[in-house]
Amino acid sequence: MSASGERTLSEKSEIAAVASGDAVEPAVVARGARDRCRDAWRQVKHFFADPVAFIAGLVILLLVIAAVLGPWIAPYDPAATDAAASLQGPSGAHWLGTDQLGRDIFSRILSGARLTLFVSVGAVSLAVLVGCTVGLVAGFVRGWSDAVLMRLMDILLAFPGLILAIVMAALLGPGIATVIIAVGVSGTPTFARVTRAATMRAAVEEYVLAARAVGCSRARLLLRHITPNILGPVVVLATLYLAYAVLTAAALSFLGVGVKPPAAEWGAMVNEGRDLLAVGWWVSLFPGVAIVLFVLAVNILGDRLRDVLDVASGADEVQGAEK
Amino acid sequence: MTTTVSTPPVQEGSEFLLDVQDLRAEFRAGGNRWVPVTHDVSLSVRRGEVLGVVGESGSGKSVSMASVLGLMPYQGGRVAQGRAIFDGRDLLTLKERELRQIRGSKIGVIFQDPMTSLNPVRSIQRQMVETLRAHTSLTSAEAKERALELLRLVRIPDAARRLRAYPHELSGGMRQRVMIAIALSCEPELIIADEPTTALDVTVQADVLALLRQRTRERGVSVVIISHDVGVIASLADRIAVMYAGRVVESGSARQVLGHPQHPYTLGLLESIPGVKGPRTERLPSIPGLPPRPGGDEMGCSFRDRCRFAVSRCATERPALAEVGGEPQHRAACHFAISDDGRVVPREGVVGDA
Repeated sequence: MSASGERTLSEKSEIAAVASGDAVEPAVVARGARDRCRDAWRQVKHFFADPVAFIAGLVILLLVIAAVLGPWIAPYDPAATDAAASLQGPSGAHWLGTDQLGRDIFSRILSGARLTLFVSVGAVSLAVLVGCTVGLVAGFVRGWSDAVLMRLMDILLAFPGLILAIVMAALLGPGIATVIIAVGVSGTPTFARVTRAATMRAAVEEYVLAARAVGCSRARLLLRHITPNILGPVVVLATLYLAYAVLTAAALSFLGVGVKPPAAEWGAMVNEGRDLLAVGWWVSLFPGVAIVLFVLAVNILGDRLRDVLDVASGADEVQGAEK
Repeated sequence: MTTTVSTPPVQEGSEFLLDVQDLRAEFRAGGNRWVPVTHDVSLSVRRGEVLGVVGESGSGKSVSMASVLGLMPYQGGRVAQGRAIFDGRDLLTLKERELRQIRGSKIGVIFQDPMTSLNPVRSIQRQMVETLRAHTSLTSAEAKERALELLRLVRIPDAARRLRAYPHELSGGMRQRVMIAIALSCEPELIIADEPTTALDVTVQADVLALLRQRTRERGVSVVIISHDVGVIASLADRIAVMYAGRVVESGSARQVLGHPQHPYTLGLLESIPGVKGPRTERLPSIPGLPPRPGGDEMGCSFRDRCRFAVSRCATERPALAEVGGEPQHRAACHFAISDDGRVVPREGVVGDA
């Protein structure tokens, strides 16, 4: 049990209050929902006060806008070919140039943003859903189900993520669903491991014992008491994995086992321009830059998020004081 | 689990609300080896009575109570034998589902550390309503109303606001009041309080104890209070059981145990309390040595190495918990009786070699 030496702020003030003869009144007084909203807003502002996090956030925001509004703001139809305008360099008419078939690269990147976002978010959701379920069950139930589930995860983990994704994509045939499944499955074991460790740690906490002592069922303990307490690391991991998902999805399309052409997938676009580098560097470069920007931005945000949410780093004062 | 075959039903209005018999809890010591941490623990609580269980860390107090509540495996332990008759039913033979209906509703539990026994990411209201709705037919709105009522009952100022608070927004004393409110919420017949004030500082401690006493007395709730602090026990308990190294070494009414301790360990505990009045002694008496590790030799008295009265017989023959001459219900597990002036005499009927 926590040593009495490590008192929280509120308890210290309670001691002070008692010493001064006041009624016992904690320093941090319970607040209403509006205060809590304001607090959250303050935290968000604080988070983005850092210029690097701000720029990363801006990049992601722009990409999300591009993904949502793509069809309306794109100057050209991303699939429309124009033999007359084949392989033109960046110009006023085609900001980022055109590819061999005369398709506008800027429009294709905008259209690719939607695809990329959909595929990466889908893959991460799949990995979180399956991985966390496995991890929660394994970490809470333990015993042989733990052994079986985690050995399964270990088998998946034994293959390098990209290789696993390529094998799966090759088995399933190209397509958007394939990419989501392939990238999602290759990320599942990581989520399962992290969730299992967090679950095991939370399961022996006294509040779980206390919840058992008031008659909570095991399902309730797991879903209502343990799950909310392990979300922090899962959110951080999901953010970091999002960047990996973008990269892997692009790699799959680059290798020709991902999204089918003519869909404007960034990785596929890089591949299309691969042979044209000498005559049309812009065909590969701009989709590549889009990938780099997005991955970098997501990584930076994930990293910052970890600093804020991760209990182990001690950044969170409240939880830090108790552990 | 216990192999006791269907315990005879205890008739309604039995003397004891909770009657624990010969409880043995074990912990895994690697592989398939299990080490007993409590030996033949027998404790009983009458209706409306407060039983204080006192002993140092590791003496088996908390493990005994966790066993009774079916909270084993708690930290990897198990119950190897024994009975715990609560309200006519043996808790140790009940299924998890049946136990769940008793826990929180008929038996309330208060844990040691209010800092860790409330879920940090759930509001006070959610945690209180959860218990209420699990055991009563209250609607969500009624449960909220009742939760508010309960917070007022445990004297939490500005209860409506505190109800929506999260645990980190409340102080330790406040949180322990919330725990008491939760324990009281479904009108239990028994409250088990495991070191309820240990994590609080002294002034808050007195406050919380007074509250616990008042709220349980007025409802006629039986209480088992576990503490290593004799002062806490003395202020609350009607009857006291002293535990040492997994055994009950002395039990009796508070007056008997505190006034005429019959086990050298109890005597040592009482002597080590500093008095406010009277002359200051040079050095506060303490009990030398450390308690034995679980799984040690099974022969002799487990307190002998630290006992100032120990003789060779104490190493070979374990004294049974037996009634002290002339005092009903007062039992001690010692070969000797301690007179009021602190001398020891062999117990009646046994021949000492002292």
